[in-house]
Amino acid sequence: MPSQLPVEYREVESVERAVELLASGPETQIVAGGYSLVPLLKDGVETPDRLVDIGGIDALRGISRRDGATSVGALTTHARIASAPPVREHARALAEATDSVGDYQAKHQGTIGGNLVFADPKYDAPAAVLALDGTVVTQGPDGQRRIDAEEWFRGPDETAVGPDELLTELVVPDTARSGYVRKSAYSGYAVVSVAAALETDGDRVESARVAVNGAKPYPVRLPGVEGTLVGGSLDDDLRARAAEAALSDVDPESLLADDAARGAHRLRLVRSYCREALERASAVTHVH
Amino acid sequence: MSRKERSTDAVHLQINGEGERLDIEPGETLMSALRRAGHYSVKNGCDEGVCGACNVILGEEGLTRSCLVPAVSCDGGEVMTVEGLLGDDGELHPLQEEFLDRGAAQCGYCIPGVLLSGYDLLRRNENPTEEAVADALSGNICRCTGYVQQIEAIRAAAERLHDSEPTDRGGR
Amino acid sequence: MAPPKLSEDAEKTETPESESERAATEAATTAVGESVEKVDGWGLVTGKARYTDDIPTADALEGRLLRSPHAHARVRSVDTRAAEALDGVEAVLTHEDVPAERFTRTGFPYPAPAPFDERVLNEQVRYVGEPVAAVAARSVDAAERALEAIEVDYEVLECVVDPEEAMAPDAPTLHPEPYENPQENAAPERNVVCETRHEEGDIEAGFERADAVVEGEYESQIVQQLPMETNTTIAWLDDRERLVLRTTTQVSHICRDKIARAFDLDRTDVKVVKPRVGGGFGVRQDTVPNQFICAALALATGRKVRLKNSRKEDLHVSQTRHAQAVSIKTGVREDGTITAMHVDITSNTGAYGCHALAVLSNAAHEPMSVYPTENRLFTGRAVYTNITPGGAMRGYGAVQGTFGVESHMDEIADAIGMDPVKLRRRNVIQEGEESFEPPDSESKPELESVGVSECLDRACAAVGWADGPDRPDGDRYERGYGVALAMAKSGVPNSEYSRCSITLEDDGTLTVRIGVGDTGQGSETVMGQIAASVFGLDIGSVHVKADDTDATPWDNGAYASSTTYISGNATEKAARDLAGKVRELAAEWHGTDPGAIELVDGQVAFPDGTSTSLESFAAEAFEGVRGPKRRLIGTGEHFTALSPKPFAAQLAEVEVDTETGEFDVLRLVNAVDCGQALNPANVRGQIVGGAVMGLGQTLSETLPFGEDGTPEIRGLRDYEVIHAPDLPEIETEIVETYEPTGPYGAKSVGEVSVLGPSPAVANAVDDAVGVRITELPITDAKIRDGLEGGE
Repeated sequence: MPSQLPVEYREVESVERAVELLASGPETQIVAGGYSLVPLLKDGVETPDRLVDIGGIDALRGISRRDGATSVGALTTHARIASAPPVREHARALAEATDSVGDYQAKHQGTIGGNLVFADPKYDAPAAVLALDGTVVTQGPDGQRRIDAEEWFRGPDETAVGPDELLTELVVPDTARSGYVRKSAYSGYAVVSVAAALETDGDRVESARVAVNGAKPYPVRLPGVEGTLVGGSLDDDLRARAAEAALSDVDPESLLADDAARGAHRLRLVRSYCREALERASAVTHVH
Repeated sequence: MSRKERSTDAVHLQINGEGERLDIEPGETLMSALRRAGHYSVKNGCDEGVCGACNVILGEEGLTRSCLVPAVSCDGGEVMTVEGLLGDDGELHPLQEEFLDRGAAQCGYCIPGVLLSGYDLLRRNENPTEEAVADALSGNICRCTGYVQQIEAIRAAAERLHDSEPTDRGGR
Repeated sequence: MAPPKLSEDAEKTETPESESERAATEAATTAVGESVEKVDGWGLVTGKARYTDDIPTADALEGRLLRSPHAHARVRSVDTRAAEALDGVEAVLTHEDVPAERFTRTGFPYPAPAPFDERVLNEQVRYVGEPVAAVAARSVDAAERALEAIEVDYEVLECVVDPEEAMAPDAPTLHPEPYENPQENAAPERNVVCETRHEEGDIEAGFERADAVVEGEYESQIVQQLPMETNTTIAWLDDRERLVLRTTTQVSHICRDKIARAFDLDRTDVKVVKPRVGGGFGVRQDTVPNQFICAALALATGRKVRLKNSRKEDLHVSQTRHAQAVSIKTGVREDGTITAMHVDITSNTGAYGCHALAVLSNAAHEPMSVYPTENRLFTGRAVYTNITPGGAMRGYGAVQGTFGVESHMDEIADAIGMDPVKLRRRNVIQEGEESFEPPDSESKPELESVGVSECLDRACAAVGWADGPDRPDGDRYERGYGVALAMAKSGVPNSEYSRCSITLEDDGTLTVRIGVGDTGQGSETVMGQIAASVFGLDIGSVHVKADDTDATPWDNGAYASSTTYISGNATEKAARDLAGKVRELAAEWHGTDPGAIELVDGQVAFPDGTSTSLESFAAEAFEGVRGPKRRLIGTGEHFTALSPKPFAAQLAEVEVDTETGEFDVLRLVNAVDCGQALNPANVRGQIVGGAVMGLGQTLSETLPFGEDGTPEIRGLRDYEVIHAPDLPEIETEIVETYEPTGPYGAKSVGEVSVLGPSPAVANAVDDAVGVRITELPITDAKIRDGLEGGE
């Protein structure tokens, strides 16, 4: 398109109005911080005819607690999530993930909603959301949908958001012990990132969810790791064995590849960062 | 004018404290509109929100990459560019003086964006560590200096502002 | 036309008169040696400085380029009718609309050591992104619609991206048409731009005498200069129908010359303005397609045209650093003395041969110079491939060559069981010895100021090398230290020419006219300091005019670290010439001898103890009270076969995680000898900036191309440049030698510190975990591989 951004631009003050505009009229996309979408608009990768700016919907900002879960509004910035006490306490992996965003300005203006909608393999939050069993809440012309993280991340550059839907909220159930770690690129993004969420009785692992972003073009759980952990006693040996089981049924050459890491290297990175994520999760001892 | 009914031809802004009417073109970013209006200190280093050369302080949004902002969304807003650091009599801000003193500006292309990042940092952290300054500059790319003298200059400015007598110019 | 050969007098000599001059002015020097504020500094920190695109362009047409999606293709036809018919479109140019003569974009004085293998727009395109057509329109919208409306019929040709494959008999030929100015042993039918061999002594005999022979191969990757301002040109015809280019250049006079030649214009009808420019690092040494094509559009439309490359365009098509494969074989005795060294280099020059020979040659000659040895051999070749052309980038081949030679030195040390610092001391160049210069260089290679050993001392002292530096206990993490020596130059011998003209204004201030290509390194400031110091003036009394070819005499411009040394010498000569005239006139007025008059602290001081300010003197001279009205002007020129070398010793401290291969560069010490530091803060900035750029090449930067020649990078977000939080601790030590032939004892400093980081880090990693990475960038994946390979 000749102009950099779509010519038609609207600001809305309610979710309802945003959905109305998404569901009718010219092809429309939602913009908030702009960090993810605007470069894609300029490159001609995304070509909507209209932008709807939801930055004014204050109801989409903020963090609250309800029924043993933390609710994060779609417009909440990474910086805010990283420092929010409820997140640090009940969804630690998400706090650590958002804290890892390398570019100061992206961290303070980029939003969780943007991260989840564009789900780039270099983003931090997706692995944490998947490991923490988050639920993405969307609003569309047919009403509200609640989509499990596993359903949300569908494929390369593909999430479950409908064409007329707006992501409004992320809900993360409480997890006692979780952690996140990443290998950083100089650009401020992640090369690979791993999050682990554990439920334990003493040292015995009752359940485990471990997820990686940057191995495939979309975040995936690591069932080999999880299977090794469950029922075991949480110690160095268990963590080491579990990490080694990551992606054991995957051909390394099928993994994401770039100059930072490819093939067997990327697999090794996943495994060593997996182990470190497990260590971080294990180190959380203050358990409710 | 309500937020919903915006003119698409022009926006009215306070730029460094002065009211201005910016003509805007369809689908234009704030960076582009500012530059067309002669605010050349806002620089286009990448046009993809990575290098920080287009930084402005945008009202409550704070330090913002103007190349990511639709110009049309800014009506009624406040913009501060690096020119806003100058005092009423044209005196340099301590940040600017320290950059000059310490050779922290080489080609200077990144400098308006870097100075605003520094300014934004000192607004919220009076006494930043070296690490905090480096973090504040993590969104700025400088290809000339290697950042070291810039970090030194910002810390020196912090010390000066810290020690200086309170003045009538609040917020600086 | 070759630059004029000047008599020996033109070079700096130590005469009694100049000694006392220097003594007198040195005592009063207020500018040289001080970290004075940059003369353009106020504009930089206030945002008032005007860069290339910082002028109103509402009256300008918008230029846009249609770029080839193919790495190699012949343009059978271009249908521009639909594009031309669009409203707002003023011109659409194809290769048929621009001059057909071929040239090289390479930024040296004509003819330049590069084949004339390209045109303003080529009929055969040889890299993805090469311009095929150009549009000028009244709006961005119209320009982009015009691009979409142009139809190109390409005959897609086979492409080749690997230099070894390109030299194979079945490879496609990129330049089948014979061209002018072929370089040494050119064989374009095999895609060989040039092939060179330089032997001193008897290399085979040298190997025979060795106790050990060590071999190694070292590869470096494609990176880019990445100045923060992209390539930009605004071109128009002025009120005398002269073509004016306001453009990002570091070589305004060479640019003017090339544009005039390409379009067959009188030089007097072309003017180049170099405004504040946002960095160069070599990319602006050339006259790039952006400049030629913008000029063509301005000529075609008769209107002002603005052509600014987007960052993505520049990342894809702007010059790069040549990827090189460096093979080294060295013979060494047990005591560490090198008996023979053979360096062989294959350089990937991309689609066009700009800088191919010169970068190739520099890649070997500079690092090999650090260790003079009786028997040495350099063989090399530069090869065409279908990727973005390589160009000039800070270091100019010596980055790749130094990575090779300095990594290799540590491998030699390892082979004979000697400390790598001791090995270097055994072989390092000393004062009075000669650098290794290309055979046709006509240089005088004997070096008078050589501070490299002291640099090495200081770098080692910083980490306590002699006593064994810190190695904290621990199983998992290993600490390592690695050193590298580097040598750069101060201009290309017998090729740089600078002339300076200085006017004493009637209020005692100075206007210095010199065509230096300051793109941020502070050359205008340094010239101002030199001029001011001769008179003992404050830097604020000097205005340096450098930005307009109409206003300045010839200067080659900023490359090869020539400015401080060559242009600085010209400036000092001009200032002393002017000082001489001041003394003469003052002597005439006072009936005394010119030699008895001193210029000190901005004063004209007489033997009887009285003095008058330069300001009063100039005013009186202009008023013509004591004779005709005079406004004094001094000139000076410099052209020399000398190129004194700056040196550096750079030392890296790393910590390696032996489990994962991940590593951190904790510290980088840079001890640099650039002669006298004319502006210490400026010098430090150059050293640190160069070191960080070198670190980027070492750790993270790379421009990948696909097998089909397509640049794989989406934009700046994918280019891994070093940011502030990534910095190791960076220390700089300025080792001040005195270069007798340099202005106020200075040599240049712009490039030397970019050379050492990659081998220093490679050596440090090897020291830490016994893994040698010979391919840049150094990544944890490669280290991990090495660790596992060793198990």
